[in-house]
Amino acid sequence: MISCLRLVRHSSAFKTVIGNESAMHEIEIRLPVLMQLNGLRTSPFTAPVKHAQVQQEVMQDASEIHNEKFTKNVLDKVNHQILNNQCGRLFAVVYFAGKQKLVTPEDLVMVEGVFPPNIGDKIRLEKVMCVGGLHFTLYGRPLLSRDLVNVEATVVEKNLSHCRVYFRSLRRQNNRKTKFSREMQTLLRINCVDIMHKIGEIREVEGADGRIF
Amino acid sequence: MVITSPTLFARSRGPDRFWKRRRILALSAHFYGRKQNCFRVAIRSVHRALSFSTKARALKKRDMRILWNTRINAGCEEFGLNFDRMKIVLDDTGVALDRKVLQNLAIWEPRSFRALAMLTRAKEAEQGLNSLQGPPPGVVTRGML
Amino acid sequence: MCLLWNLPKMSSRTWSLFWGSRFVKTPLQNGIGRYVQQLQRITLKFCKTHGGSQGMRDYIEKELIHFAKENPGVVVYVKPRRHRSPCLKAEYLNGGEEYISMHRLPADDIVRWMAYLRGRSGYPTDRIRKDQHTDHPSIQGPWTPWLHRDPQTNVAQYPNEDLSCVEVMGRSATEELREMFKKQKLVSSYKRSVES
Repeated sequence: MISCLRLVRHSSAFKTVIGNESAMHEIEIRLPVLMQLNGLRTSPFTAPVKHAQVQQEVMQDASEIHNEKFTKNVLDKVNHQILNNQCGRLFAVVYFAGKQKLVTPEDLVMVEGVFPPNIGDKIRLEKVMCVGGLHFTLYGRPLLSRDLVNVEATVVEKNLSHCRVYFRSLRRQNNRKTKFSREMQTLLRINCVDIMHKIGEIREVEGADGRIF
Repeated sequence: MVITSPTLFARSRGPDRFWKRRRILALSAHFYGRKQNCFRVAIRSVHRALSFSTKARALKKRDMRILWNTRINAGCEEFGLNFDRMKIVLDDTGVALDRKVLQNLAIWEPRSFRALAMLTRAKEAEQGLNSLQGPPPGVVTRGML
Repeated sequence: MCLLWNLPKMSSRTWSLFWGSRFVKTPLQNGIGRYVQQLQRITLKFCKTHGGSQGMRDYIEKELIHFAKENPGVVVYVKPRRHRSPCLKAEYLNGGEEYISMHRLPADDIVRWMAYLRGRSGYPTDRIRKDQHTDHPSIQGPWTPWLHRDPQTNVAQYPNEDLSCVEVMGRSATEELREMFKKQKLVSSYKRSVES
């Protein structure tokens, strides 16, 4: 029974593959040509042909070359400004106390909430997201290297805010809640925003600035 | 609080009805009409005012965010962008500047903001989005975005 | 806006007359170059016998010496007065003063209030409108409507037809209608040809 089934299947498959008339016709046309080629085939013992060596070279895209030149030109200009202290006044976006601040030297920045530094302390704001000036801007992804930008600040004042009244009431329900709160406010004076070294090069040691081993 | 009777103030200490009322009336001193001086009317409006000011602290944050969105969108429009598109690209490239800073840049440091807009266009062209005109000139990504 | 309708009538001016508000500031450009301590004098007033001054007496015995050592720039006065409640009075470089009652407060609390007075700048505590102040708001120059424009427009000769014509943002409704009309025409002519 099983063999019978197989037979049936086989025959049907045969039909589908070989039964295609146009395919059969094509093979009939090609056959004599193939036979001829078979007669012309070279013997396997012919000496190997020596091909002339082909010099392979990688063709560079013209636009790529142009882009490289352009990039180098821009980086050189920026580095020239950095090395010769010609950047002028710089601004920086620093991240601290959970917020981002756009600062420039001699700014006053207030931090609300718990902030440990005391009055007169000099601190360095290390999370710099962006630094820029008149001619160029450097964006971090999301932060710039710690060594690259130096943003320093002095704590000028530690104060409590004015008293805020949190008042909630539901009318005609004798439901009333009053809370008073005074948050800690710390005032910072930004002292400097500086770019410390050239850009566009890989440094030997990175992120070691300001660490004591 | 206008202290009309310093002698009274000096003599009476502790939770007295007069001083308890004075505390409320101090808050209603700048109101108009009977709300200013009649306690029964004043206390209602003081409670209303205080609860408004409590709610407004949260509202202010929301309003500022809406304002920043509007400003950034206006800035983007000049470059044929909108903030949604810019935000997607900034998130992709890892530039994590928030709305407050972006609107600040758009107004006060416009060339820096322009750079971000051009970056957006270049990145979109790289992805094949919104780039019928091709990438903007002067942006070299070197495939590193 | 609907909230504003329901508010009692007041102007922000009257409100600030009573409660005050200001921007962040610090006296005499403090912190540029060096930091100058703003607290100059502090007076601790207390009674030697009353219970309300117990905390203040503890503070003076144990903690005050540390405060004085840590803050050599501050003059500390200790002033006993008979049968009066204790208080702190601070005087600042800009002429500001603050007076806090210390009645029945423990020594720990007084340590904190002393630290608070030490950190202040002497301005009265008002509501602060902005958390940042800058004298140099813009380095690149603020945005203007001409900033990101093509500079070609600066040298253009006016009257200029190209620059003064209406900028077409997309397809107008008229164009859309015209196109629809054309399509309709095509369809009708095709139908006519089929019928004939």
